[in-house]
Amino acid sequence: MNRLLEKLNEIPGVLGSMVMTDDGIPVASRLSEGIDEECVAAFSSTARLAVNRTAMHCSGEEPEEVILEAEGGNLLLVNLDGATLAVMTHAGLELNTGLLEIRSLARRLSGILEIRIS
Amino acid sequence: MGIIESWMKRPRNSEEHLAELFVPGAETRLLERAQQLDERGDHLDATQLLRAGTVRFYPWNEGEAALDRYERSRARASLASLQDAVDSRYSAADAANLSAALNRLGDSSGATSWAHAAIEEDPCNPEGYLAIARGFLRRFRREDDSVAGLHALRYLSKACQLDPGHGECLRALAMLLLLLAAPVAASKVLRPITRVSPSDPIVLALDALTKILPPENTTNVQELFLRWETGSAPTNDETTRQMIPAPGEFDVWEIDATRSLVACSDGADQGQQMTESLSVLTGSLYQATPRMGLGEFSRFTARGPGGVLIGLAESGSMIVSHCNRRSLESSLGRWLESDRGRETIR
Repeated sequence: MNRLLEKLNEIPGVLGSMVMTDDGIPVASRLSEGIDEECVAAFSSTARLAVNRTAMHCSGEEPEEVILEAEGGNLLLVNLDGATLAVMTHAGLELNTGLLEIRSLARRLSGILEIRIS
Repeated sequence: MGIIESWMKRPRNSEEHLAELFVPGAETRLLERAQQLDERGDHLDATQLLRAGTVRFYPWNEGEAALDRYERSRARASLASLQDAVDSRYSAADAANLSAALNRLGDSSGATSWAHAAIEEDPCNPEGYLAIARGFLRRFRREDDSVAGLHALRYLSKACQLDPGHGECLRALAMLLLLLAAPVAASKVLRPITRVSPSDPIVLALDALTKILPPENTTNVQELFLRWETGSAPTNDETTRQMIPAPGEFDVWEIDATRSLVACSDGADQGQQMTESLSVLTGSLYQATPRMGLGEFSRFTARGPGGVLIGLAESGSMIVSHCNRRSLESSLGRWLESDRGRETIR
């Protein structure tokens, strides 16, 4: 899992990444120095929960991915079936190009989690 | 009613006396009682009584200081045996106990690594999560640090999920909910303890606080945190709500800086649950990005089988829009970033 996170961090513009449980408990992380793992896990989970709840009211379905854009950077939250992949990137990064690669690595992470659960 | 039944209905003396320690102005008596318990060797009872007291009389510096002393002296006394236990028969519970003791003695990095070791050793044992949660809960209570409160909530939810009947986890979660001024939720959490032990100090603290705190009108814990932080709840006045003209395939809502729904498109869900979700969404996102070191929130996009949901920040308020068709994401984004024609109606 850590190797895949390191691979994710090699994508241009990516500042760090982590896998956490749906309730926001960090499982594995490769975040840049100075970024508080607990803080990212807590607020990613809060944000994701809030977006999911609203989406559920709109369509009855939870989103597969959520992108938060802010002045100083972006945060991508990808559903891994029971866990969440959080990827921090530079602000203003063209998300479409890196997103395909992130999605592909997310699928591989999802596979690892499935193996661990079974 | 027979003599036996009436006797059984009467609260026991100890229960009566304990309840008196939670009435207004009983802080000194509670402190003395805790001291008596501690002096006769009932350290756990003394600690539990003081913990409940710090919630009942929050903010109560004298109680906090006494609790701190008791917890530290208990941790100091047990440290050697806890270290032996970890060395001789390593288990998740031993690692969690050592973590809790180190935390009380101020060794936070040691405490964190032993708590994580406990979780790694047995991820299904609640003790490791509880040890971490206790440290955060203490910080939340003493320093009014909402981030610590949020951390405590995550770890306590996990611990309670793993062992729903764990008394200490339930007590800690109830403490957090009472500090968030949510007596109804705390009472639900404490139900298993109330049934078997009505004179438990935290149950008595809850009883006392229920008389003072109005029942909360939300079951959403994120909303409770937002209210605690901002000191206000969204008003959501339907009579002043305005209309946003929007293409038929888009549902649109505008939430103002007080997290109240002030306008929406024709046919968009304005039910209570949706309104509360939008309030929480706005508050949570504005709070999340600066605290993660990303700066001011500007926009979110959520994609899934249910379509696309986009939110756009607008000087403290937020415009949220949903479309069932993902293929319309670009049009929805473009429309949101235009003036949306709202000003002509409002």
